Amino acid sequence: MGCKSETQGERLKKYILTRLAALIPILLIVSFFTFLLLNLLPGNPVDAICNVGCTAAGHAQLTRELGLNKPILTRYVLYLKHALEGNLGNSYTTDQTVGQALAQRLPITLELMFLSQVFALIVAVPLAIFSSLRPDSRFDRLSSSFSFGLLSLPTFVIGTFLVLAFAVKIHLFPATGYVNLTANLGENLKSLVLPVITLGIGSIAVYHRVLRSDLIATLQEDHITMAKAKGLSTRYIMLRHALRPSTITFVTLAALNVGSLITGAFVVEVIFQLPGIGLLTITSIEQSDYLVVQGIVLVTTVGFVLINLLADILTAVIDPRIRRARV
Amino acid sequence: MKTKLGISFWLSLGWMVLVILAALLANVLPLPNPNASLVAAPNLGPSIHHLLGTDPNGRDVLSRVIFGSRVSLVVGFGSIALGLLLGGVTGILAGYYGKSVDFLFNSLAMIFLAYPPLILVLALVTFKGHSLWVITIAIGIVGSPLIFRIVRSATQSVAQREYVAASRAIGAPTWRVLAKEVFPNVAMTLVAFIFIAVGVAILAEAALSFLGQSVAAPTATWGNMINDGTNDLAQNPILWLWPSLALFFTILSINIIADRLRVRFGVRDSFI
Repeated sequence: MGCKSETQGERLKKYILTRLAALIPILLIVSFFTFLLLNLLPGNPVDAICNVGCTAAGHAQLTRELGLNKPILTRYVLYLKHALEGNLGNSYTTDQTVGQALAQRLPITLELMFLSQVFALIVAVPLAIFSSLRPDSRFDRLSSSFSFGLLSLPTFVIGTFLVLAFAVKIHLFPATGYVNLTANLGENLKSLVLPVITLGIGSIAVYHRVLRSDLIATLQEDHITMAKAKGLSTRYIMLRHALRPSTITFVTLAALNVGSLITGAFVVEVIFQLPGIGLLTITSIEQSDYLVVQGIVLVTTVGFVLINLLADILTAVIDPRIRRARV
Repeated sequence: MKTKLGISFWLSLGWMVLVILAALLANVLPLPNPNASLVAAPNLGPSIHHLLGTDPNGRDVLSRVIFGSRVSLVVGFGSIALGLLLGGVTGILAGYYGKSVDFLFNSLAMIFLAYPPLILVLALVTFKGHSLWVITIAIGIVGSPLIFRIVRSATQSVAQREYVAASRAIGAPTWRVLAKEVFPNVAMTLVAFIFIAVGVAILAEAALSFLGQSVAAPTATWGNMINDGTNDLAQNPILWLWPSLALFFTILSINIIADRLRVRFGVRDSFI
């Protein structure tokens, strides 16, 4: 037994190391691709920065300053070198460096995304449990139809509706604005209530639908029948036997959901004027703040890759079959 | 036994036919120019002349909702058609040939999939401009690796079936095996997915519009109409309501159609 668990531990270690090693080429390719994408497309950043009133000499100087006269590969290596040193360049419209801007905005977006997932889970898990206990009951049908409807509601329709209902009609929560977490925790949470609900609602539908069908399948398995025959309570069976296998589904699902969560967070930040990455992206695009956009694309993409990797590793830790199958 | 498609399916199909017909016939219908200001007094309520009223610029709201559907439909169906062309063809080739062909296309797909979808679309649109075609192509490009992955895995399972082996054994050329045996069977599992993909593409365009990053104003899109409507949410919420309802019913219909077709074709609910 001890010997077996040791080899399993080694397998897991090997799996994680293989995945981490694969990370380096992936990140290199992705960062190069980002660089190519933003550099080879028509629409010269110099034109974007210096608008109409730029002289030919100014144009040439800016081209030199940005290093745009060098070959693309040299520029990429330089950009990567600076990026690794934490230098993503300077914003053209503010005095900040791209790194400072990101450090200031990223925590807000992350807080929003994290709280929205907590909210979604608090609603979706009990809904899924009650749905799966009596599939096809009135409650199950109602909540399933409700989830299905929610999937068809875009974030910005939900968000603007919540603003109308809770900020314009009854002044319960602020419609826009953000209070910093360190300034005042209570006000911070209050300023995030509507954004978090808006962003979380889409995830409720996704989690409810998948957890429900997952639980219904699990509840029909032999070990559940066995547990019932032993006279264990429904609550105990649910929590100890049925929900556990679903954690794998959930981790995979949550990782898959991150992509649409980022989209949602951008929209929510614009609706509620939360100064996160999304709002920064949109204002930078509008002001043609080229290096900020490039930095955001790079950082979010690297983050996205890392989250997916983390989810894969977590799944392997929870479910030994996966690491055996893939190594 | 075939499951019935049910009343919700036919209602949804009816709505989609209505939306598509209205979009096609928008120029023929007795509607004022959607971008013409002051066709009537601003902020009128619904009346017989302007069924959904007018906006603060005195533009006809019904006309704008109907013309706005054109953007949604062109982007929704156009981008997925492009995605099918890019992702579908490479997916069948990768799934059928395997080995180095599979490795090449799969690696390419993984690079695209590494990007959060909105970020990639925003990057493309920012540097290529805000025309209808750029947006359609950008969403199509972003969707193609997902379509590739689904077509690839469907092809892999079809390619191992006996009838494919039999077709090859009687000496059929590869293109015929692919066209007559592989493609029809892959297409069947794809039908429901395509509808969902069209819905996602329409939502993506609407979100871009809402962020002011889609087709430039004054062209009406549902997304920018919803955004305009939020400016006046307190006094005139109805301006926000019409495009929101149009978008909601369209996405709901597409999702219901996809769901019923999935049940009918017996495809497992493996995607969301």
